[in-house]
Amino acid sequence: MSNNWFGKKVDEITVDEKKTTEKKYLSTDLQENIRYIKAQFGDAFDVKYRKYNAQGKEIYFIMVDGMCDSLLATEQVILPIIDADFHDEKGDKLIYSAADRVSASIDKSITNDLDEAIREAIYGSILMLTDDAQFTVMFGVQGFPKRAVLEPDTEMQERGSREAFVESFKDNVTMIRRRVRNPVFKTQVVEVGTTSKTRACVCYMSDRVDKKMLDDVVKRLKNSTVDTVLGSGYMQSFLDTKYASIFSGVGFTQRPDVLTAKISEGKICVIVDGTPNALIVPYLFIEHFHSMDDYLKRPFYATFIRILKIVSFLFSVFLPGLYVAVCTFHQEIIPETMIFGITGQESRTPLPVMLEALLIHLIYEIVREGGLRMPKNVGHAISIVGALVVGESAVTAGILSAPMLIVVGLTAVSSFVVSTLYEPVAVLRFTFIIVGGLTGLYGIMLCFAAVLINASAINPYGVPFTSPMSPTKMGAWRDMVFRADWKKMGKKRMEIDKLRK
Amino acid sequence: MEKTKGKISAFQFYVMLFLSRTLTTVTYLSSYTENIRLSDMLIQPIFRIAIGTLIMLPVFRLYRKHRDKNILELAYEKSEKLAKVVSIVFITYFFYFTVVTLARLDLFAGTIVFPETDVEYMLIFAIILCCYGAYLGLEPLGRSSVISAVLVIPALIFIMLTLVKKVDFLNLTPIFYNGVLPVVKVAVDSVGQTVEYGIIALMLPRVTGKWRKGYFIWLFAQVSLMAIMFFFACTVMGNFASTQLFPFHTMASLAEFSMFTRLDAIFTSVWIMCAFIKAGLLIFLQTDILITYFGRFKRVYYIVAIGILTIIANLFISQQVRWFNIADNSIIKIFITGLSVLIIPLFILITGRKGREKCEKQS
Repeated sequence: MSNNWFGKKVDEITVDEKKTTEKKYLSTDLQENIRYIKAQFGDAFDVKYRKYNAQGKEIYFIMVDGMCDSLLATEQVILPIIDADFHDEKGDKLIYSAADRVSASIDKSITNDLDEAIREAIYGSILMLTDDAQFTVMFGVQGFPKRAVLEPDTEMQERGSREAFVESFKDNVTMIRRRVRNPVFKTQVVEVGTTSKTRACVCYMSDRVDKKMLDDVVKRLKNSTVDTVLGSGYMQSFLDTKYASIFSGVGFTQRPDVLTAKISEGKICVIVDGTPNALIVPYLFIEHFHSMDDYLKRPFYATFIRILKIVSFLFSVFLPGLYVAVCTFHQEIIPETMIFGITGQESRTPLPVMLEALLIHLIYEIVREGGLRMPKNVGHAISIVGALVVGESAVTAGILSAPMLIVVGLTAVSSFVVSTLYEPVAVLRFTFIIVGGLTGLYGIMLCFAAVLINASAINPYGVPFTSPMSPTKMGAWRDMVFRADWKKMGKKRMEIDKLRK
Repeated sequence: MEKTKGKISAFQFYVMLFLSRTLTTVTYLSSYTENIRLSDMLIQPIFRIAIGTLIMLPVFRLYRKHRDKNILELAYEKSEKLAKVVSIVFITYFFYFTVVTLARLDLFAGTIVFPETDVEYMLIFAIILCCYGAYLGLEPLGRSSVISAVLVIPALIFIMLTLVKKVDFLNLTPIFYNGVLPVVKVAVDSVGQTVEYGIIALMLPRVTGKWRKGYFIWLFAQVSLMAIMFFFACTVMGNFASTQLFPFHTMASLAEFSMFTRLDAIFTSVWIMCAFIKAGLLIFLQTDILITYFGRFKRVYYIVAIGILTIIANLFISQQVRWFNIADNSIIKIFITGLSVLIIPLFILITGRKGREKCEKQS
């Protein structure tokens, strides 16, 4: 038993995750099976047990109300079975015969594992049990409420498809399959979450994926030790690099077209049931500056947009820190035409520049977080309050300087240009403000070097995170900052395996 | 003896060395060339190429025969004691240059960037970050060097371009004004200050790709940079450069572009970036040797120990020009460079040949 820093015994407040491997097989005694299922579900009101007598044979149908399409279950499963003439068939023969009598459009699977059957029932299958049978048949008649396919709310595109992933992983896989009409697109379902038994679907293209990498991804998912998986983010840390880094080697997307593009490069994507975001491995730094629209527009404009994104990223990370460093230590850098304005404004504020920057950025993050969690209409109001009331009034009251507000505004807008990097950007921004305020440009450069080497150390699945910039892979430069024409890009496809060191 | 892993491409390796050498060039102190005119520094790189190639001949000869073993492993094959002595020499060599590199950074920060502030905490901050870089290893250092070079080289070119209009050819004086010997002496001093030769001597077996071609490109690139920098320093500032502690920094502060009249901030950034790479690499090499030949503990402990020693040594020198001059002495540098790059490889080469001849006679 270990103690944490505050002397509390860790084992008293946490429970080790244990994966149960013992299987419960079906008994030939129908009542015993029913008793077991009832014991598992307890008094769950939504679990329905329907007993029928088909030509003297006792048949039980078990389903979870709300997870099944009742009409489909009745018309396509229950009625054909109870109306069928089974002659002398009983036990396992009856099970197989019943499965044959149900329409081919309904998913069917037969098992002798009772726990698996229960899990399937929870996920909207209808179970059929009968006496003297060591097997049960499960009919997939899922019909739970789900969200319609809508436009993505984070990766908006001008010309691309308007579809975004939904919570149902089957629908998500369908969206990809519609785009790749080739059997090389493969999926592998892995159960994650010791209690939740959430399904994670590993998607790849079999003709270009690295088999070792695939095995590694599946192994990591299987070895994940989470009790309840409620989103793809739970799996991110298991798929990520082991290095402690501010950047991640795992990307995510809401768009099926982006996911298709990534798997066509030999990458692996993981769709976790219940989340409209898919994970992509390995994900390189430069990919944060790419978007689907880049490939749909003309190359010169795509290149221009990428440069714009890189500049925005640099602005969002360094601008406040540089401003603080220059105002505190290196005033001589400020051009003569600006120095009087800036120093005049800054001298009227009560706080030192570093504290002022920290305060305003903190307020900005609070407003942003508030706006994000609020209902949309209230969110707009929050933004107005943040921008006008807090910002404008603070300048008028002499608490903040106008140049600082300009810096914050520019930084805030820039940080949304590359939204996938928002998390590291927000933390780095605060770091650079503090370092800039304490050590000036000297510290900022050192800190930048440290961040750079930290990013260079990430090696997700053997592919350097900073590739193809460093290690330099000239062949991949056709789609780095500069984007070549499709006439050229179409000749040879890009594969992630080629970027391996 | 623990076998070390980690290879680096010739491109990344020489880019790393280029940045490392760029630091030595841009932090050039006017006291190094007291006996010659600045114009002679334009011709001095030619001597440097010759001397640099000559002293590296034993190393190249050694690695032509034993491509997969480094100098310490070759010494180990002779005797374990010799390997330990050689490794101590190399650790001292790299430690000394780490201290000198950071001492120069400290002198620069203390006299130019923050003349009115105590810079000790900044020095400690820098050393901690360099140790972190060393902890991450050779490959991240190599990768970040290439990205840094993409920033450093254009920054230097930009500064040079902004100075073009200030070039005055009348500032150039006749070359060899004080004779050839002082120029050769400065070239020898300059080679002695080049720790990169020692890094090459130790690391070549880890370099993949065209390492020999890379060496000559690197040599040419670094002396070209040196010549260009001295050309601008000489033609823009004339004899005024000799009066400045850091002439290239003064030169950069004269550069102006549009309404921006102080571009020395860019120069400072280049300096710090290069110092990080250089010190990180040197600390990494010291750790690597320690682990290979004396390794009992985790890598991180050695890095922490080297970091603490570097901090102590640098704090001792910090802000004391007298101690800095003693540490930055060119005789010490030439001696230790000569010992590591020339004498040790020659010794291994000669004893290896004698051993082989003895074996042949016996058979």
